[in-house]
Order: sequence, then C-alpha cells, then structure tokens
Amino acid sequence: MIDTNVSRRTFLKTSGALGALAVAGTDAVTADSLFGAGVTVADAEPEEKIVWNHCAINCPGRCAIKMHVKDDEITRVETYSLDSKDMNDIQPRACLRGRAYRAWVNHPDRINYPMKRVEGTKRGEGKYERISWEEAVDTIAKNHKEVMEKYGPEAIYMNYCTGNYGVTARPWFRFLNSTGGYLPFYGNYSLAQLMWITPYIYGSKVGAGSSLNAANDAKLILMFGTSPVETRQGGAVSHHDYVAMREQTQGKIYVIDPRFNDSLSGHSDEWIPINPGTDAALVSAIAHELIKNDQVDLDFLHTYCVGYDEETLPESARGQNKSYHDYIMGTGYDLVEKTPEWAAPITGISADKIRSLAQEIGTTKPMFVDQGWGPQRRSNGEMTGWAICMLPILTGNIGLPGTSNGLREGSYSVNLTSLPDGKNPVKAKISVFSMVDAIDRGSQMTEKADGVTGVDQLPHDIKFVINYAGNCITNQNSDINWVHDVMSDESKCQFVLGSDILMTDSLKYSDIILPDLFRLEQPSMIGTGGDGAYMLAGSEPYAPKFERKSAYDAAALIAKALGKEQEFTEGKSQEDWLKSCYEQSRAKDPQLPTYEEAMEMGVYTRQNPKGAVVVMDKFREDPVANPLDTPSGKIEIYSEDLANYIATHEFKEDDKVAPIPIYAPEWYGVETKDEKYPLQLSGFHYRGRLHSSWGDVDILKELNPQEAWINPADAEKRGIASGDKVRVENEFGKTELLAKVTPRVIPGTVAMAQGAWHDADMSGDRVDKGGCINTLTTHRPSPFAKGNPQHTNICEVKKA
Amino acid sequence: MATAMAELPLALFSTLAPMGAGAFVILAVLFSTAKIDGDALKRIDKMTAIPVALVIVGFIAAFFHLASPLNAFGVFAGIGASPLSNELVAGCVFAVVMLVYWIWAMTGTMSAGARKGLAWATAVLGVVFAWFTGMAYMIDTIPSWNTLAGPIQMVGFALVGGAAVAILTLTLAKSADALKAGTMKTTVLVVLVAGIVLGLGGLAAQAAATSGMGNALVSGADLVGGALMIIICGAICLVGTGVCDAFAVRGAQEGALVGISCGAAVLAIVGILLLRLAFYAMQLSVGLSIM
Amino acid sequence: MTQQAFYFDGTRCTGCKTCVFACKDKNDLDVGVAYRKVYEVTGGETSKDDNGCATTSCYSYYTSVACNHCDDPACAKVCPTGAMHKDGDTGLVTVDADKCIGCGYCHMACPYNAPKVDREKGHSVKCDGCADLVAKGEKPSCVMACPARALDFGTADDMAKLGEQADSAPLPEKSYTKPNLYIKPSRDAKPAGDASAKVANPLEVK
Repeated sequence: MIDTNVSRRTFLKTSGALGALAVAGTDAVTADSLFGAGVTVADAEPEEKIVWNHCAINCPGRCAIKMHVKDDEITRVETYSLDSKDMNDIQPRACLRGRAYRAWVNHPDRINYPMKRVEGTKRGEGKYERISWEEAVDTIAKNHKEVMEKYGPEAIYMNYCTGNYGVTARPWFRFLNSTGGYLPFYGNYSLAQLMWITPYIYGSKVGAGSSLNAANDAKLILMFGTSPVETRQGGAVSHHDYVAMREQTQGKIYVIDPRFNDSLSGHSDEWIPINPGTDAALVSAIAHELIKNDQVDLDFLHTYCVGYDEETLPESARGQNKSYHDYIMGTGYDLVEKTPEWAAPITGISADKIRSLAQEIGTTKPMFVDQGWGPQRRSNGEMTGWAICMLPILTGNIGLPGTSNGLREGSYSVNLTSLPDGKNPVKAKISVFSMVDAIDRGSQMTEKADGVTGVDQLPHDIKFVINYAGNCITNQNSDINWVHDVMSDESKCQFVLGSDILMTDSLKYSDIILPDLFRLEQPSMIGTGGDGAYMLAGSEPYAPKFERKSAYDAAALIAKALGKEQEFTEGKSQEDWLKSCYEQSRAKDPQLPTYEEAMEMGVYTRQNPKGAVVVMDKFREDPVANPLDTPSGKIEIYSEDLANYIATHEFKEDDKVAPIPIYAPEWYGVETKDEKYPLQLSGFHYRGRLHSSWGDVDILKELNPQEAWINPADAEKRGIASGDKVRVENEFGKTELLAKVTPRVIPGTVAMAQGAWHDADMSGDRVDKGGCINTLTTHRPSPFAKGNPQHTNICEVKKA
Repeated sequence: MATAMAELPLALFSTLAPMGAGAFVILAVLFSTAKIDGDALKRIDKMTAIPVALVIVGFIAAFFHLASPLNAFGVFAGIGASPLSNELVAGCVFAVVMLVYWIWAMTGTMSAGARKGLAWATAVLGVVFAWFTGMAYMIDTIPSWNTLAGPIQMVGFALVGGAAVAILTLTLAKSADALKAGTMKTTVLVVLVAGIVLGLGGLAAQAAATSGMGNALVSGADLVGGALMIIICGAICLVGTGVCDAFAVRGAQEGALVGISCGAAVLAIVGILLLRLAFYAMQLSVGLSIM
Repeated sequence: MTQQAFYFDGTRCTGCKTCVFACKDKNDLDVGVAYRKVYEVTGGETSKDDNGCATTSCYSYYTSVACNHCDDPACAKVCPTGAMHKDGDTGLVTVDADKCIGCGYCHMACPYNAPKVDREKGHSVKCDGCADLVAKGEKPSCVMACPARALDFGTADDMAKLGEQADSAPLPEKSYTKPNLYIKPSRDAKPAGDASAKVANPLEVK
C-alpha cells in the first residue's frame, strides 16, 4: 500500500493540475481519488498554502507577512524579499517583530471569548468570566443607550489606540457616528506637540520633511533626536532607507541625541551627545554664530519668511524687539544673548563644539535637517520642534535638492481610502492626552486652560469609553498610578468596552471584553511608503477561531442591538467595504492594480518617478504662486496667530511660551532636576516591541531585555553594574528593571525603552516589576498641544 | 560560577572516576610489597567495592551528562581524532580491566601473581585514564584549558583522592596496619604529597595563566576571581585530606581510624569536586563560547 | 565540493536581530535557543567636564553571527561520534542527530558559540545554513530577512569578493577555524583579539 506522505507530496509537486486541487484544501475525497482505496486520511498530511497579509501595528512599515498555513495553523512566517543586492529595490521586509508573529498569534493569553468583569472585583484587577456574545452585546448596548440618553454623545469616547491599521481596521469611529456620535480627540501620542505647532510654521499642508533619499544629494545631514533604524524597522521604511542613504550620500552626518542610538552603530564619529530637552538651546547658539558670522541666508529669510528680523515682522509686533534676531542676539524678550557659552552648560555640548558645528552649518550646502519625534515629545516640545526647523530656515536649506525642512523625514506612499467614519454631530474635541482628565473632571475642562476645542467648556465628564486594540489607558499613558485611581473609580466612568487580542494592562480596566482578530487573520489592505511606495493586500489564513470576531462584525452586532445596523453596515460585509474603498482608491490612482490582482500579488511596489521627495520645492520655486497655508503665505518665524493664541489662553507659570521658537527650560529637565531626583529620564523606542505591542511575547522579551541605560559615571556613584536589577523612581512611582551601564548614554541621563508591560500589584505597593516607564511620567500636558511630554522626567536610580 | 554548576554531572564524573582509579595505585603497591593473609585479602576485595563503586557512579554521572546516552557507543568513532573519544576509550579499557580484576578477585581463585599483575595494570590504566580525562579538555580554541596543567592536575587528584579511597578501603577491611609498615607508609605519604602538589600546582598554574587571558565576553581575571573562593575551599579540603591520611598512616588510634579515613575521603571528594567546578568555571574561549 | 559561506556587511547592520527571529521562526526555536546571534561591541567613554560638557570616545557596532561552516571546524574536530560533520557537497557543517550523544563538546570548542545541546531534542543543534532551502536554490532565512540587507550567502569564492574573511572583534582570529564568513567591517570595528572590544549585550547572546 502506498502510504508515505512524502510520496503523496512529491506526486502533487510534480503534477500541476492535481497540485491545484491540494491548494483548495485537504479532504478525504482528494486523498482517496489520488491514491485509491486503502489510503487512510490520517496518513495524508495536509498541504501547505501560502497566504499573504500585512503587519498592522503603529509603524508605517506595515510590512509584508507571507504565511505558510497548514491545517489551519501558521507554520512559518516569511516576508517579501527579492534576492537582490540593489538597495533601491522596494522590499517591505518584515522586522524581527513581524517574524515573531507566530508566537504572538498563538499566545497562551489570547482572548477567545467575550468576557465580563467578575462581579465584586474592581477595574484593574483583571478578573473576568466568559459570557455569550448575546450577553456582551446587550450589556454594551444598554450602557451606550443609558449614557447617550442621560448625557449625550459628548460623554462617549473612543480612546487612542494604535494596535491595528488597515483600510477597514477602524470600524469603531463609524459605529459611534452611526449610533449618535461621540467626543473626538485631536493629536496623537507620537507627535502631538510638533503636529500642533507645524501649521503655525509651515501651514497645515506641510506635515513632514523630504524623503530620506533626498539626503543623498546633501553635503551635511543633521539628525536631531532620531534613530530611523529603530523607530521604523522594516525593509522599505526608514531602517532600510537610512542605511541606504548613509551608504549613498556624500554628506557628513551628525546624530544629535542623548543616546548613541542604533542608527549610529558602526559610525561613532557621527554622535553629538546632548542633554535631553535642550535642542532649542543648541539651535539658538548655532543661530547666534550664524548671525555673528554673516552666514544666515538673508535673501531667503526676507523673501520666504516672516519674523526673522524687524523688517519682516507683522505690523502688530513691530518696534517691540519681538523678532527672532532680537531673541538670539540678546535684545529680545529675555535680554539674554544666546552665545555658545550660554548654551554649553544647558546642552552639555562645549562652546567650541557648538562653534565648529555652526561653522559647518554656515558653510555647507545643501544641508538636510531631520528631527525625530523624541525632541518634541516633551514639556517644551512645541518650541523645540519649531526651533530645530530654524536651522534649514536660517540657512535657506529648504525646497532645494538635498534639503528638507527640519521636520521628520517624509515618504512617497500609496494612499488608500479608508472605511468612511460617517458624520459626527459633536463639535467639541479634546486633546488625545486628556481622556483620563476628561473622565476625572471633564465638565470643568475649558478651551482656555485645557485645550478643549469647538466649545468653551465640556458639558460632561466622559462616561462611556471604547478601548480597541490599544494599551493607552495605562501602559502607554502617563502616570499609571494616577490613571488607575481614576479608572478604577466606577462613580466616574460608567462603562468601558475593551476589545483586543491579548489581555493587556489597559484591557484590565474593561467592564466587557470582546475577543478580536489580528489584522492578518482577516482580509485587509494598506498603503504606505518610505523612499518608495507600496501597498500590501491579503486574506485570512483560516476562519476565526474560538468565538473571536473581527471588530467590524462586533461593531455591526452592537449597532444592530441599538437599531442602527443599516446605518453602520449599509448592507456590506468588511470585505465588501474593502473592495469598495479600494475602487475609490483606484479611481484616484488608476495605476493601482485591480482588487483581485492586488490580493494575488500581496505586495505592490512603486518607485518615486522623481527619485526623491523634496519637500516645499514648489514654494521655493515660486513663493507667490505657491504660498504656504500660513496667514502670511510664508514660513513664520514669528507667528502672529500664535501671539494671539498666547494672549487669549491660560498657561502655568513655568510654561515658557512665545510666538517665536525659543529655548524653554523644562519642568522636569536638565535645569530643574534636584538633589532628590538628580537624573533626567528619557524614553526611547525599543526594537523588540512596537510601543507595547509584542511586549508580552517571550521569545522577543528574552533577547530584548528591559534595561535602563546609565552612564558608567552615574552607575559607579550608585554601585550599579550592568545586569544589576535597579529601581528607578520619582514622585510618580517606582519601577524595576535591569541596568545597562554604557558609554552610549550621556552622563546625567537615564534612558529606558518605552512600552514594557506594566506589572504591579495595584492594591499593594504599586512597584512596577515590568520596567514600564509610564510609572514615572507625568500626566501634566504640554502647554500648547496639551500633548504627552513622556520624555520629560527626572528620577533617581538605586540598586534594587 | 553559576554556569559551572551546569556542568555538575561532568564535575562528578571527573572527580569520582579518577579517584576510584587512583585507589588501585595504593592497592597495587600494597600487593607488591606486603604479605597479606587470605582472610584479610577477602576483606580487602570486598571493600574494593568502594573504589569500584566510585568509578561506576562516576561513569553513570557522565552518562547523565549526555543528552542522548543511547548513542554512546558511537564515541569510538572518534578515536585518535576526538580527545573525548580518547578519554572514554581510556576510561573503558581501565574500567574493563578493573572489573575483571575485581570480579576475579571476588571469586577467590586469583593467584598472587595474577593479582599483582592485574592490580598494577588497573593502577597504570587508571592513571592513564586520569591523564586522558585532563587531555580531553585540551582544545586549541580554549586556551585556558589548552595546557598540560589540566592532565597534570587530573593525575594529582587521582593520586591524592585515590590514596584517600584506598586508605578508607583498607581501614574498613580492617587491614590498615598494612599501611603502617615502612615502605607502604612512605609510599602512601609520597602519593598523597605528590597528588596534592600536582593537583593544586596544576590548578594554580592554570589559574595564573587564565587570569592573564581574556576574550570579548569575559576577562580571565574575572573568571579566576569568581572561582577563587571555591579554589581556596577545595585546596583546604585537599590539604585536609593529606593531613588526615598522614595522621591515619602514622599511628592514629584504631578506634579513631575509621572516622579519620572516612573524613579524609569525604574531604577528598568535596575538595576535588570544588576544584573541578573551578576548572569548568575557568573555561575561556578564543572567541565567544560560553559554558 | 563547493564551499558555501555567509557574508556580513558591518557597515549596514544596525543590530535589529531580524535575522535571529527569521531563523527562530524557520527552525521553530523557542526561548533558550537561537542559532544566530547579534553581538554588540561597545567601548570608549562618554564623560562630562566640570562645565557639564560631554566628550565622547564611545564606539559601538553589531556583528551578526551564526555557524560559519568553517574549513577547519573546532566542533567537528572534538566531536567523539562524527555526528558533527562537513557536508561533502556544500561544506555546510551539520549535526547527524542519530549519531550525536549530546556531550556538549562542540558547544565548548566552537569559538563562535554556534552549536548548543538541546536536551529536549537529545542532540546538538545549530545553524545548518538552511540546507533545505539552499538545496532548492534559495538563500537562508536570515539572509532574506535582513531589512538593511547586511547579509548574503553563496559560494565562498563569491562571498570573498564582497569582504574579508572574518577577523574582527568580538570574533576570534580567523586562523583558529578558517571561518566561511566574510565581513565588510564598519568604521568602528576593532580587530579580532582587541582587548578593549567587549561584548556589551551578554543577555542577548546566551
């Protein structure tokens, strides 16, 4: 009798037509018809199929995931790779996390059934019992109805979450609009401060800089607080693009960062260590030198900008020493000349070094200036982000080959239309960082003091929260201990709906939990890009397991219970929406392949026909014909709008604000650290996680240990050696992790990767054993954007 | 140091088996120089179960060290090429001869000449086995081990440990008096001292050399520093063995003899085991190997 | 025999460990076993003067290493059973699981930390150069995974055209085993045996 699997598989491999049968799946009929009677089905090993899909976490990489699937299990994860040495090929190769999907998808803590919080337990305890979908949906609908009737849609909120991206990945906004509306947010946790200030500088239509390959033409490249290889790790985003650029450019690169980050590895001569939060002081001193040495591009400043000096100030500001030039040269509002000697002790960069850097900046063109989102994720982030843009502005390195605009690198992308959100009747908005505040004291939050927009004051506290595919209630939010107190108080928020794939720290604050699918377990598409554009499309490797449902299907069920199914679905399934959205995308971008072709290809790539994105090139070419979307149509170094904003809003005394890009000392910064907490503490993005995603996957945790980077000078004083368990603490909490004693961090600063999973006994000592930095971060928002200043911290470190 | 503990089965093997083997040196000298009556021989043969058991327990420990002991017969494939094969072959030849000797002796049919010859063969093969056990670690990518100090200390441990085991064996066989005769006494003292000198000297030489080495992962000085406490404890135990046994052969009271020789043997086992762990803790590769 | 070899571009590698995880996925490796490892070498100092200004001589670079399928493999040399052997066609060093006794000598002897005894499996395990993929004309999983495209694989002759035979820290001098690993070292790379070049991520390369 023929019995080995090998012979059957070999046979299939060599027989095209019959092989196709196997792809359709294995069943007794197929096996028997191939081998005749006598072959037991158990002997016939199921055939492997290949299913494309994409990564969907909060990284523009969204890389290709090529799944080998056998017997409804993913047996291997590959990605899109060509056997090619050409760095200019677009290959969205998945990073280490993408290659660890199997361990995540099959995690023992996956949510498989709807659950409710066990009666008598508090939010945060994490005790849940299985319930039916019917009970879950009824409970959610009942609470939604109650809150809507009692308070109205302003009391309903969908929390910021970043664990699921794709054309149809965000059905909950649509659900909320279909069922009466909700209180929306503005901003995000990635770049709230810079996003808020950029429209004042460059107008609302400029959101990023040139693509990294534009720096191939630069002679000098300044990277402020950024590690492109770490923050976006895929094979067709900044990891690859930065490595390719570094190889191809003739330009000298400087990375200005408190940390010798991985973008510097092997290239140590490029590192300029700086104290966190002081980039604006460095820029000011460089500006001082440029002005002193006549190295500013006055033509550019007068033609393309307002506010550099008296002659381009708006009428309202003239004659009051309000220009940038006045600020720098010591005749402005603080009467301090921003000399290198002034900046040296603040920044930790010697006056000589600042001078030589200024000399290079003043004499080298083209210059490409890029900032990461670390410098702006701070208490002075709006001012810092703006200040960094001053280097290309002062030297006229904008809109020309080899330049950028000082914002983070931009991309050439495929843009796909997403599932429409629908219309929201609510006018009010809050800053994304304000959710817990709005639960705690929403009805007291105002436009003047708290950054509420659309209304003068919120009518109600938030009473109903949806937390979908995100860990931003506690883990990724600031001041976890305070958040716990607010969220666990049931007299405040009436109801929290959680939906996720794993039990996260944030999910423990849910009243009802719904079991979600990974993006790669459902049909999906996404468009993105780096130097080159690409689109990823794929389907489900197997039918949903256990009682898991897609968010779309879950939202549809609840909409139905609220009598709004038709409004939500319009009679379409998720896949129907995917197709119709894609047809809209194709109408706008006819080069795109058909839906069927896209699904078949898995990965569609497109080279930038211009080679590189050079931001603001049209404006540079003709500023009159192509003005910016600012009040003056020009780059605003002095913003009259901002001056008005400052005049009409409330700020705390230690919030240093100005209508020009000043250096604002931080609340918890190099100039305000004290004896009790003598070290600065800054977070960074870790390679083994994406924020907190993958943070509980053992194989990744093992080889990406959670460590506090500390300079030998600081470690020795405290008797700390590499590998020691240390406790990092400040007024907000205590967390424990391992020490990495390394010259890769500037003395006086401790660096900790953000995103580690919070692990504390919240009814006990609250000491976090997981090394989660948000045990130590403040929930005080930044002055303008009311954004998360999560890198602005001071601390002490002790051996645990 | 914690990593060396992972090699505990190997350390037990390389402690116990060579100790058992070394005991036959004293027994061989005894049979060659002293006249022993039949009853005493019977008692000695019975108690020879102690060194035999040590060898067997040692080999069992080695077996436990292997992830697939069932494939163990394959080791003969590497004779001549793999130092481990050489060691195991030397060990097997020794063990077979030892067992032949002991089983034959236990039958009571062994002639004095055969006894003398086989005891010497066992003793010599035992020392050779100890030497090869040391040689097994002479790997050119591990310079801290790639030294004759390794086999030398193994022979030293076999001698001093073996002497302690032999003294215990004879004491329990109520034949300790034989050790107090002039030639035997001298021989035992010489073996004890030689064993201690070779064992500790070998280890000290190795530690001194290692502390000057380093690779990208560890510095030899750190390795030696980490092992220093157990080296000192092991050395104290080993010297203690010598002192106790010297006392035993130089006129300890009959009543105290069992206790003293037992104590000496236990000190030897503990001391050699600690020194073997120290040896494993001083593994320093030319590259990146970590135990 | 056509000897196969790895190539590693130290100027491109950023230490992300995607190679490690692609390998772990391909070979179904759980916690405790990785056939490929990424070593961080860091040295120099970053300190501040009395004025609070920092100066730095810090350097840091990564090296991704699996089995180098050496011409003169230390592992095979000490193997008592011949389980660890070089393939006659490809020169890839692999373990014959049926012969291996799991004694751990290969693990001790290999200066690249490549083989390791997997006690559950009952034998030594290590990178086999993805021999199954290579036989199909593909490249190893790690090579095809690298987002920065710092790895390659092919005949030793071809790889030798791309870089130098591995002789930089933290690796041992090439003379010990004649590794089939060719490297383009980064500017920061120190020569093999340089006493200042220390592995700074010991927890990640166990």
